[in-house]
Amino acid sequence: GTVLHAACRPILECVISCVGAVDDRPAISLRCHGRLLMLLLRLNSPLTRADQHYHETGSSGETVSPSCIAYLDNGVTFVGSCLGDSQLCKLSSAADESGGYVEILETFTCLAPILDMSVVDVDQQGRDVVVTCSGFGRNGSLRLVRSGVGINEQASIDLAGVKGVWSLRCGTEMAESDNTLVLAFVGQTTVLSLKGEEVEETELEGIAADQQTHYCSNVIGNKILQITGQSVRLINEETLQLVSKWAPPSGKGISTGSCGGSHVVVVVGNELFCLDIQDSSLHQLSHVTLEHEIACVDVRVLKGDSGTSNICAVGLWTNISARVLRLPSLDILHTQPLGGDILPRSILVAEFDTRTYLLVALGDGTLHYFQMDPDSGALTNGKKVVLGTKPIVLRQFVSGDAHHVFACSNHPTIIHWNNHKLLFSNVNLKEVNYICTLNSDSFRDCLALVDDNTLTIGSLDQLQMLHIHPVPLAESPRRISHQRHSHTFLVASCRVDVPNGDKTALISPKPCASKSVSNMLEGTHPDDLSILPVTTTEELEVFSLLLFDENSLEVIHGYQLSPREHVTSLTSCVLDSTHYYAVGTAFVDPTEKEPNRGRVLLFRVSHTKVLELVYMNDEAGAVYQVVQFQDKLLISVNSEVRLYKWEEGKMVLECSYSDTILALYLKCKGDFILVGDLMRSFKLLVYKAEKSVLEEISVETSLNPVFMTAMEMIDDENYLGADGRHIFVCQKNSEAAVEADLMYMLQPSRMYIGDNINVFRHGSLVMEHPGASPSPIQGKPIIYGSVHGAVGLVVQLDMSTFSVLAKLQESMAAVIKSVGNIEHEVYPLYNEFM
Amino acid sequence: MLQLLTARECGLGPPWFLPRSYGSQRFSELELSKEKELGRFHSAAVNSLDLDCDGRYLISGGGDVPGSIAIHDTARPAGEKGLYVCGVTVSTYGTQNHTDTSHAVSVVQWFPHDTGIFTTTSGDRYLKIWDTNDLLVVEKFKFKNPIYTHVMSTGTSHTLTAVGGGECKITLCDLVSGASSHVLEGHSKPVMALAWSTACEHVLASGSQDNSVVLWDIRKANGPLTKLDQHNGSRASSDPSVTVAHGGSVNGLCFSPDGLHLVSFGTDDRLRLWDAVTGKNTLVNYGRVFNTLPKQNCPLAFSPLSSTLHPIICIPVGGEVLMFHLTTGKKVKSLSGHFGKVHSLAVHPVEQELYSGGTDANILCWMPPPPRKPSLDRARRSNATGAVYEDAWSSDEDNDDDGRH
Repeated sequence: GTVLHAACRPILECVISCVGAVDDRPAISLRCHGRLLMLLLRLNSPLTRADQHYHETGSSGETVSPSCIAYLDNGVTFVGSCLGDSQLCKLSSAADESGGYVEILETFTCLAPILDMSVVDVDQQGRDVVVTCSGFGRNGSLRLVRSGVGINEQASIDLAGVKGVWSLRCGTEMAESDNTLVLAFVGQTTVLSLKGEEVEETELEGIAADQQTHYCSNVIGNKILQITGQSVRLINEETLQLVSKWAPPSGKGISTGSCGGSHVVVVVGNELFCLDIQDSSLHQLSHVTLEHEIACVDVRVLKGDSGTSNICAVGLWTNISARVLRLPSLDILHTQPLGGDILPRSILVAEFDTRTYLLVALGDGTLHYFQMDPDSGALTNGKKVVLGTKPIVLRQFVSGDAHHVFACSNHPTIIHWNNHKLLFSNVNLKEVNYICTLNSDSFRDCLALVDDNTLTIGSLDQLQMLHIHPVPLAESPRRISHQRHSHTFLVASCRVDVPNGDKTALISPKPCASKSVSNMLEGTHPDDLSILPVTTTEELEVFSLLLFDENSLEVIHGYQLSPREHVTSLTSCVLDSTHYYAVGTAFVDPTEKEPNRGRVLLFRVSHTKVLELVYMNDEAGAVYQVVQFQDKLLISVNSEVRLYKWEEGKMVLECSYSDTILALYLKCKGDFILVGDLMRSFKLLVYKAEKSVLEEISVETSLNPVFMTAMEMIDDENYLGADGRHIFVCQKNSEAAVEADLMYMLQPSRMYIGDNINVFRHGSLVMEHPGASPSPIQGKPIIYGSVHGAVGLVVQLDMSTFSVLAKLQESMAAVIKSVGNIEHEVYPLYNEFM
Repeated sequence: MLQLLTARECGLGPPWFLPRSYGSQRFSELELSKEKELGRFHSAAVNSLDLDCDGRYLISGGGDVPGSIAIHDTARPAGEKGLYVCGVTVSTYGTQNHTDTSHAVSVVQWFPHDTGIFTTTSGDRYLKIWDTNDLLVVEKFKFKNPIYTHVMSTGTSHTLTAVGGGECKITLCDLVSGASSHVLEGHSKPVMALAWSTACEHVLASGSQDNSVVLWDIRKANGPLTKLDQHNGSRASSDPSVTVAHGGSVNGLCFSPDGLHLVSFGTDDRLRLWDAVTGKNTLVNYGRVFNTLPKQNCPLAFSPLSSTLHPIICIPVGGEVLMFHLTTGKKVKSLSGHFGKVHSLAVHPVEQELYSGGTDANILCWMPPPPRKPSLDRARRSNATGAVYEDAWSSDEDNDDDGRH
C-alpha cells in the first residue's frame, strides 16, 4: 500500500563509496572521499526529503576508505576497510576541540591490499623482516612485519661502557617500587635515581662507587647487598649506611657472586664462599676450593625452599662443566660436562611452572639447558640451542605472573614456558648486553636494557606475536625493492592529483610522502612520444620513486616520473659490478587498450644517498617485469620476453621470446626462466648462451585458462603459482616415457586459498634455531601476500610429517563439525569455475 | 589492461572481473585462426558440430550421402607445417554396415558429461545412440516423421533426450531405459528447435512452425509452463490461444550459459531475447537478421560463461557468422570465411574459440588474434602519424610481421 518516491538531491560533489543504516532511526551514514556524512530522513513531509547535516571530520580524525559501515550503538560505528586499517569511531553531534565530529576509538591493523613486498634480513642476523606495500590511496603505507617480542621503548639515555645493571628500592620513603638503578662500569659503579620520569645520577652513601659491582639487590631484612670486585657489602635500605662488609681472606679480588634468600655465594678465583645474612652482619658459612676457576655462579630461591636457597650452580673454566652444589654446605651434587672448548659465561637456575631448569650459556652464543631435580641436583634431558654469535648473559625477569629468562646477546631472546615446553622468542632489538627488571612509579613492569651505547627503558609486548610497524605514506605504494649495497629500499608509489577549485592546476589534496621530498627529481617524456596531454580538469595519477633508508625507513630522496608514466616493475640489480635499481614503466593513454610505449630506467644510488638516473631504454609496451638474469637484464614487454646485455653502459638486445598473451611475471634460476602468462599459466624457457637464444622447454597446458596472479620457483623443477583463488604446484616433467610429454608440466598439487595472492617471496618470518629439533621443513619457505592482507607461508614438508598432519586433519575433520556444514574435504578442492 | 591489472592487485573489484572482461574482449575479437586448421573430411555440408565438455574433441556430422561423422582432436598439434591438422576420422556412417544410413546426418551431439557416448539423428528418421570407443550404435529410436532436432539434457538427475520433428509433439527418449518415456503435446505444427535450460534441468524450451515458443517442465504432465508472447500481453486483441513469439516459424533456440536468458530466432528474420525466469520479451532490437536456414534447425551459440561480462550471441547468416551483443543488440562482428552457407556452430565451453561448418564442407576455427609483437618502430610511427591513420595501414603491417617471424 505504501508508495515509495525516490527523493533525490545532490549532497556533495563526491563519489559515495559506502552506505550504512543507523539503527532504527531514519538515518543513514554515508562515506565519500574520506568524509563521513550523516543523513537524517524526515518522513513528515509528503515527499520523503533527505535533510542532510553532515559531519566533516577534522584534520585530526579522518576515517579510512571504508568497504562497509556498521552502526553499532550510542554513536559508535565500525568502519571496515579493505584498503587500510578498520576503525571503530564514535560520532558525536558536537564538534570537539579540533572541529571534528568523529573520534576514533580503536584501530584494527589490516595489511590489505598487499601489492608487493620485500623480505629482507636488515640486520643480517638470519631474521627476516617483511616490508609490504599496503593500503590504497591515502591509507597507503609501508608495513614492517616481523615476528618475535617487541619492546615499547619509553625512555633512553646515552651511556657507553655499562657492564651490568640492577634495580633497587631504597631511601627513606620506602617505596614499594624500584627507584634506583645501579650501573657497573669498569672499575666503578654509578647510581641513577628515578624520580617520576626524571633520571638523575646520585650517590648513595653505602654503595661503593669506586669499585665495579658484580651483583646488587635488595635482600632480606631490608638490606641492600652489593658484591664488588673487592668486597661484599650489606647496606641498610633506609639509612643507606654500610652495615656489614666481608672481604675474601686471601685478599684476592672477587670475580662474581650471587644471592638467594639469606645465602650469598661469592666466587674468588677457584674458591667458592657461602655467606649468610643474619640481621645486620655477614657470616661465612662454608668454603670450598674447586679444581678449576669458576666462570659464573647462580643461586636462586625455588618454590620448595623455605625462603632461602639450597642450590647453587656454577660453571667452570678449563674442563668446561657445570656443577650443582648444595647450600650452605657447598657439597657437589652433580657435575655436568658441557663439551667443546668454549667456556660458560652465564648460568641460571630457572623455575618454569612446575619444572626447574638449569641454563648454561657459552661464550659463542650457545645455550645448554637441562632439567634439574631441585632436591638431588641431578641434571637430565640436556639440549642445546644457538641463540647468537656473541657471549650470552642470562637474566631472569617477571612479566605478568610468569617467570621468563632474557638471554642478552647480539641476538636477544626471551625464553619462556608454554604448553610444557621451553620456547625461544626473538626480541626485536639489535643487541642487548644486560637487562634488569624495573618496576618504578612511572615505568611499570619495564625492563632496563643496556647495549654498547645506550640504556633503554621499555616494556614488553605480548610474547609470540607478529609485530607490524606502519610507515604511513598517504599515497598508494605499488612496488618495493631492497638494495643491500646501498642500504636502501626503493618504493614506487602513486598519488592522485586533482584539479583545484577553478580547474587551472592539478594539486595534491592531502600531504603525502612524495610531496614531502624536498629535492625531488622530475622525469620527462621521450621526445617522439605523443600521448594524451595532461589537462587541468581531470584527475591524474602521478607516480614517484621514493628512496628509503633501510633502518629508519625515512624518505631520503625521490624521483617523480613524467605524467602518464606508470611504474609497473622494480628490481635491484648488479650490472658490470655496479648496483642499480631497474624500473620498468608504461605510458598509459586512457584511450588505448594496451600501452604501446614504456621504458626501462636504471638508477644508481650515489654515496650521498641520492638517486641518479643513469640510463633509459625505450620499449614498445608496458614493461611488466624487470629481473636480473645472470649479468644481464631480463624484461617482459607486453607479450614479449626480452634479454638485454649490458655493454659499455648501454642495454643491447640479445634475444627475445614472444609466444605469450601477456608475460606478466618472470622468475629466473640458473639458465631457466619461468614466465607467468596472463591466462596461460607457466612456460619454462631456457637460455642457451652459445646460441644466445631463449628456448621454450616446458609448458603447462591446462584445459581451462589460468589467470595467474603471482608465481615463484620453488626449485629447478617445481613452480608455485596462484590464480586468484587457488595455489598450485607445477612440475617439470623430466621423467616422461614419451618424448613429447617432456614438454608438458605436471600439476601434482593444487589447493583452494580463497584469496588473490599478489606476491610470493622466498623467506620466513620465523628464525630457525639450528639444533633445536630436526626441522620437518624442506627447502626455503615461501611467504605470500594477498589482496585481503593475508601474509602466509608455503612450506615443503617431509613425507612423514605430511602424513602425520594429513592424518591429524582427517581425524579432526571427523570429530569437529565444520562451519556451515561444509565438508572439510570439499572446501579446499580446486574449482576451476570462476 | 594495465588498469584492470592494477584493480585486481588492489582488490578494487571482484576477482572474476579481469578474466571475464578480458574473455569478453577476446571473444569479440574472434577471427579466422592462423594456427588451427581442421582437416577436411566431409564431402558435403557440415550439418552439425559439437564440442565435448572439456572442449577438446569436436564431432561433426556431414550431409554426405551416405552420412558421415568425424571426430577431431582440436588440441593435438599435427602436420609438418606446424599447423593443427586436427584429428583423425574415426568412422564414417556408411561403413558401419547399416542398410538404412543412406541419409545425411542432421544433428550430432556428445553426451554432455563425457565422450563415451554421442547421439545422432539423420534423414532416416532414427535417433541413434553411439558408443564412441566401438563406434557402434548401441540404441536407436524410430520415428514416423522427419526429425528436425534433438537435444540431450545436461542435467544429472535424468538422461532424457528431447526430439522434435514433423509430429507436432516433442518426444522424450530415456537413454537409461531405452524407451521414449513421454511426449509433450501442445504445438500445432512440427517442432524445429529445442533447448534445455542451463539453470533448471527439468525445463525445456521448444520452438515450432506454429510461430510459438513454449517452456515446459517435464515433470508437469498436463501441459506447458508458459507460451512466450512477443508483445508481452500488451496487444489488446491478442488471444492467449494464439500467443506467438515470432511472426514466422521458430527454428533457433538457445539458453544463455547462466540460464537467465533465452534467445529465439524465427523465419520472420527476428532474433528475440527472453527473460528465462519471467518469460517476458526483453524487446532488445537486433535489427533484421536474415534467416537463411528456414527449412531446418538454425544453430545459435553463446559466448562461454568465462566471457560473459558482455555476452555475445553468434548466429549463422548465409556464409557468415554474425555476432551480436546480447543485451544491447549491437552487431559486434561478422565472421566471413566460408564459401557456402554456414550450417553449424560450436563454441568452446571455456576458451574463446568458435567452430563453424558450412555447405562448402569446411570446418573453420575462429580464435582471438595472437598478441601483436611489440615493435618500437610501429609504436613510434603510430605516434608520429597519429592514431587516425592507424587502421589504414596496421593490417598490412601485421601481415608483414607475421611473415617475418
